[in-house]
Amino acid sequence: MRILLVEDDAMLGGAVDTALKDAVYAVDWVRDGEAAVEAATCVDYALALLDLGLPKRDGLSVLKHFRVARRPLPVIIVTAQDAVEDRIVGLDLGADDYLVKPFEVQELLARMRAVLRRQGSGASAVLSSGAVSLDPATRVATVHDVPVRLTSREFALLRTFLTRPGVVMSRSEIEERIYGWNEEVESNSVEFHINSLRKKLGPAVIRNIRGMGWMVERT
Amino acid sequence: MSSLRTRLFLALAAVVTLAGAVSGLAIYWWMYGEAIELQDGLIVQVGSFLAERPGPPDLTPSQDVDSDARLSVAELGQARSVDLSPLASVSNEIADGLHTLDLQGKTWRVLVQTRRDASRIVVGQPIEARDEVARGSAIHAVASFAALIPCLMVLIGLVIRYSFRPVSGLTETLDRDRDGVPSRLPDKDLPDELRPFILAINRLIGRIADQLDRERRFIADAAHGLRTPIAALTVQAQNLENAPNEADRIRRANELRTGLRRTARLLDQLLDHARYAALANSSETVDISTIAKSTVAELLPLAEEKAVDLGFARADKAPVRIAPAAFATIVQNLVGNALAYVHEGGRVDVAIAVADGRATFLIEDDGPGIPSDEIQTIVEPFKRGTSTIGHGAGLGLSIVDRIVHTAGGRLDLGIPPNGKQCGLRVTVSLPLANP
Repeated sequence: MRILLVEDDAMLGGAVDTALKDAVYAVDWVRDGEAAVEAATCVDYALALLDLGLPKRDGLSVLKHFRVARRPLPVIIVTAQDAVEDRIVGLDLGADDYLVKPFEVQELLARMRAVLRRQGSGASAVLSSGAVSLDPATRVATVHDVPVRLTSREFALLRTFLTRPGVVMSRSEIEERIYGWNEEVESNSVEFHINSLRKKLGPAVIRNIRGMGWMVERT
Repeated sequence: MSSLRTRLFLALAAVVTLAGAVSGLAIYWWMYGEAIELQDGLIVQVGSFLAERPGPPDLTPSQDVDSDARLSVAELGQARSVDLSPLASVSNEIADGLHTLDLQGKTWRVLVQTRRDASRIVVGQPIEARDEVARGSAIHAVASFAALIPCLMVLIGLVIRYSFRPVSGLTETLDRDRDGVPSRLPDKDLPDELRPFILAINRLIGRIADQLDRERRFIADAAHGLRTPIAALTVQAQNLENAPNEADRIRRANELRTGLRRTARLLDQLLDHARYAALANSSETVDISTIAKSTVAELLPLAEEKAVDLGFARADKAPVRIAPAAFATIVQNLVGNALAYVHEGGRVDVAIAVADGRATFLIEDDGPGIPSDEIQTIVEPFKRGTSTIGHGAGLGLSIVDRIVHTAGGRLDLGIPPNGKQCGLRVTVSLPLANP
């Protein structure tokens, strides 16, 4: 799941970048409004964390741009502006949530999950397909109610599949969703992680559609 | 006696009482003299009346006349007298006319007159009785005048109260506290004497309100300015907790330490902002070129790191009344800014020049400069240039601006006159201290 982080403060940006990577998100971090608009046109992000006081292009103007773009990009505004009017303006412009600095990492992650959940099919926090289910908050997967430990990449991969069940994803689509810009991707790593997931969850969970990619069944 | 009203009332009351006493005395003496003259006139009239009447003079007293005020009559040189008055003892030698005589132990006012038949009569009255009458009428006159004084006092009190009504109204207005800033005083229908004073007070209130407004905004901005670094610290602490291995743990602990240092520096700046405005006002006269040189020397390592050519174009001796630490802060912030924004291998020129009673501290760089539409607002606290990635919280220029203004100087930002339309020229102009 690939996140666009828009934050001009080097220290906060770096810290959030680390925290999101710890939470197994792929993160692209940009530091000004124009770079944010540019990044969002190239990459199909699952979510954007947007600061408002940005150089070159104001956060609200970036938000407006996202709203008129082809595919709506979920946005959480993360800002120091705490006045109610600011929140109203932000939410009215189409932000999905509004988080005031300073914030706890856990809260940021919980809000991100909530927004992603709303974006996805159901209201349930736990993603599932057949006998396999995944709780994005605890990162615990279960097969027939038996908990299974996943590595970070395996978790990211399974979450990517379970958020869009029934959709066939190519290797490049998967890579785009689980790796950030500056992460090195080895040529067969997607296959490698899919194989290890199959070993842990059972071979039928992830189906290979020859020549197209992989998918999990919609149930 | 701090009340102007009481003072005014007491002063006026004293003046009225004194004037009353003086004119009362004058009235008394005048009325007394008048009464004496009137009684002399009476004696003369009685004398001429008796002189026209032949026969022994006879004045039968009527019952309702005060016996002391009674006129006595006697014929000179006659054994017989109308009564046994002391007038009978007046010697015949005396000339016609009014006399004051001592008769049988009492002082008398007498008129001696020769009648047509050459007999002589004397009409008189004891002085004591006359005085009593005169005093009585004088006292009556003074008393009716004195009764005016309390009436005057009451009137003065009322007039003073009425005249001071606008002042009491102003007091009420001032006391009506709105958010800690007194509301401006109404400047209509004011006495001319009070108008300049009230207008000055209104200007003062305006300045205080502006200042308070600035401080409030600053505190709000300071709270906002602290949010981002604190958010970073919170996230960094969480990251440290989540560190997957020892190497990451050390790296994240370092990040947290850097974050703490930066937050501490921001706090220092906030304190500087509050402190230096007061500090800049100094009784000390210092040569700012010395301070500039030593402060710039401290920044040389920073310049070398970026290969920036940092140096003085000119350094005149400039005695200025300013706290050395405050001026050092100006140099640190301005030269530090120039070094932070200038490109690698750029150039920063510092100069101190003296002309027309002012010392000018000049910093020019060939960095990206500030867009002209931002130059007006860039000195406001927490304002940062939008075209560059910010380093600080946007307090440096604001601190400089505050110090410069408190020291009676000016801070100007512009483009260096090198024709290249790039870079930034910051001018600090301070008044020279009187030698």
